[in-house]
Amino acid sequence: MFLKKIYNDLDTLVDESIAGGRLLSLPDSDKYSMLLPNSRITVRREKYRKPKGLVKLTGGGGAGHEGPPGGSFCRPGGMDAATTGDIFAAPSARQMLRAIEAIDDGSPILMGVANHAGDILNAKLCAQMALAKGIDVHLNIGYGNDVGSAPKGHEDERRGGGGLFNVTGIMAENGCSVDEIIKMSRHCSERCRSFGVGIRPAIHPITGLPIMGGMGEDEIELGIGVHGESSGRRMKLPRSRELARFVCDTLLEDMPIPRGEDIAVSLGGLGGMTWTELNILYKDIYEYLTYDLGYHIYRHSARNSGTQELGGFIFAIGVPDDEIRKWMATPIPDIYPKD
Amino acid sequence: MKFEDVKRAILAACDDLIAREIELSELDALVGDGDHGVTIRKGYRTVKNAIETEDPKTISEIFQSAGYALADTAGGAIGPILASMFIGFSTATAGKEELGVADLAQMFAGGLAGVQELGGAKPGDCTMVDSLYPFVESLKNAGTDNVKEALEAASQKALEGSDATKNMQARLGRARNLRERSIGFIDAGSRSMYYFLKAFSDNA
Repeated sequence: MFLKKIYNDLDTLVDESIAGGRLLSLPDSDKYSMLLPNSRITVRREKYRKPKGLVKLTGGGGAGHEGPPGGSFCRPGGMDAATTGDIFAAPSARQMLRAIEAIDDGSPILMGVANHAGDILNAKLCAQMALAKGIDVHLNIGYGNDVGSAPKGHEDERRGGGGLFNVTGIMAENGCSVDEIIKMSRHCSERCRSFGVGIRPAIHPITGLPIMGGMGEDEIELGIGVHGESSGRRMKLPRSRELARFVCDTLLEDMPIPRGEDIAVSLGGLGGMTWTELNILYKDIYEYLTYDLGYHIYRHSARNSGTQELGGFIFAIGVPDDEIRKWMATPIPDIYPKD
Repeated sequence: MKFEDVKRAILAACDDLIAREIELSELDALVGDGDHGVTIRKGYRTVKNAIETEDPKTISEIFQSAGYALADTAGGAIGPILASMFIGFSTATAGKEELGVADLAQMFAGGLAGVQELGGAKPGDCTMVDSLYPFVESLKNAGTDNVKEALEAASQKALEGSDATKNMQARLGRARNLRERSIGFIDAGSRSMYYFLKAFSDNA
């Protein structure tokens, strides 16, 4: 099958995407971080490394659903090391271990792990190898809040989902312990719910096969994952206003929120959405949540990047509490070089 | 078992499993997608290459080379799970120059712990644990100092454990989706694990 995508070589597709993303993120990418030779591992540059004793954060995931340039490198307030796997596949345990070894100075290391089978398996293996080497490593396995992946009452089976409150980086900079960070990231996830909707299929960049193919012309799929994982539930494509109500109601049914509360919302297009569509959908979501349901949207974000040309979106609602607000407002300690 | 014995036994086990590709795939095809033999051939080829090229100097390093090489390959669950078994062997044999029955029991128990932590399987779940677990239990209660005899008896228990998966319903892995339809077939993962343990024991 002819693969109508821009690339040079399928074997180096991921590496070339990482390289280009770093170039588009200049000068910050090069200032704060570096790519370890012959690897897909980025680490903070020496002068931006965290002081010894503070919890160091690593993480990683598959490729193929890259966000916009500028978001993925390591820097103060963020990660200490990060790895990228193959298209929609977790990095190998050995690669995760190399990332950990690159930043190990005896401080506790906390690996953020997405709640997907392959990510968890490789992260657990990496932790076994690291512990055998005497490295003080811990796993922070994501607590899923995607209501499309498992019904209410089965929260533990839920995968990934939207993270509206990312406070692990700032907590680590400010001296929080591994346990405090793990507890807080679960707390943040528990106060969010997300739901995915698929509209148009995408093409897998390596296999050339359609993702979410086989959907009827006038159908959408409800409860998809970020990789376009099917849920098997479909409906006729409704008008935007009706769709907005449907996704909001789905989330609020799972996590009822009292009228008048401050909420955060995020609308993440999966790469194949037009801004015309996202703008209209966001307007309808905003109007429903604000005018009809009486909430106050105190934070919002919308973007369109993710799973190749997949048409669809993940919508998330979160309710902050005082502790989440406190960490969201906490600055990075003034200890890093200014230049 | 000294360093040379362990190295010989493990390489022989690799050769044995590489040669069983078709047999294992055929077994898997009865309930799975029929690629277990391919996965196992690739996995043990990786182990063999790593041991031969990295030239480990201690018993623990033999297993570390194997585990690290498997941990470098992405995709699928079997690779990481076997990697974790070898890392468990390596940790349990650290600093040892010779393995007696008690050391072997400790070593295989370490591997079993790694496999169980990673895959979450318990005995009776119709997985490789169903041959590895009785093997470890047999070694722990060997009642002999003779390595050959202890391993031979343990291999027999591993075979019985693998045979018993015929009456089990898969609760993990892809076969779990078959529910009760998985009853009546030997689990391919338990079989390849038995062959590994048997070949290791025969060449100890």
